[in-house]
Amino acid sequence: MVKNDNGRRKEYWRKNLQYLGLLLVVWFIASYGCAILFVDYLDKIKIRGFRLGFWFTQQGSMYVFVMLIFIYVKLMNLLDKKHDVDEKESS
Amino acid sequence: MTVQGWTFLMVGCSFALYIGVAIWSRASSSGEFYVAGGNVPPLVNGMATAADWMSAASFISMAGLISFMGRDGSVYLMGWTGGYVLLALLLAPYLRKFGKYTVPDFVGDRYYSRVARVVAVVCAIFSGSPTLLGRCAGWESYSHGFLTLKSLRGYLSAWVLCSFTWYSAE
Repeated sequence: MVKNDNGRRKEYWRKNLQYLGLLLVVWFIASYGCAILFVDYLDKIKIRGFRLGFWFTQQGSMYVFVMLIFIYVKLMNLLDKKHDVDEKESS
Repeated sequence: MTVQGWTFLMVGCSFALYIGVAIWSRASSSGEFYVAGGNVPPLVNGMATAADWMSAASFISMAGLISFMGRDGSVYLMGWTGGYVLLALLLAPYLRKFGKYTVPDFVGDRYYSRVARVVAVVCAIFSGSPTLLGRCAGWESYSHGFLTLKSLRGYLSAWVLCSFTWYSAE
């Protein structure tokens, strides 16, 4: 690991929290928002016979969850590489 | 052979296999127990996590909750699956960077305290017990229906199985 001065570390952590906040907002909207809070409203919309709110609880939010994790991994790997704290590939 | 006989045979074989694996592959270190010494590729590791998710707690207890409570039961799905996002975003990366495998290990090392560690262990057991109960209940209804075990015996056999995980970890 390369020695980092304090400013760069702070920058790294700030960026980390930014990513976290953004992704968790999406997480909240998809799970709590679409599946619980606005479910009745979304149920009025029907796509091919299925109510949208119901779809979000049973399936849609899971797709969002999986995507969130992939996006997080991608973002953090890039950030780690930029700040030179990534795990070096060991053969 | 009757269906009952086949059921007993198959369940007996899988029990024997599980116990055999537990005895044969006793882990010698915590690194070996949690991540198999780091020799498992990420894809296989992910598959193992997925297989762990697809337990009796998911298939029987979750489905049962939804079938009994109707749509209101589906809010449990949010916690069940959404929790993985919290785990992956807020917990796993930092444990990994810290070089530990469990939260109690991390807490104990970070705060230089055995008491904090014990508290973390109690919390972990407490928060892990719902899914363990779900799994035991799932196995209980299975063994009641297919093996015609009495409820309590089914429950106890689930705990015997659990204890082999502990044995292979020790």
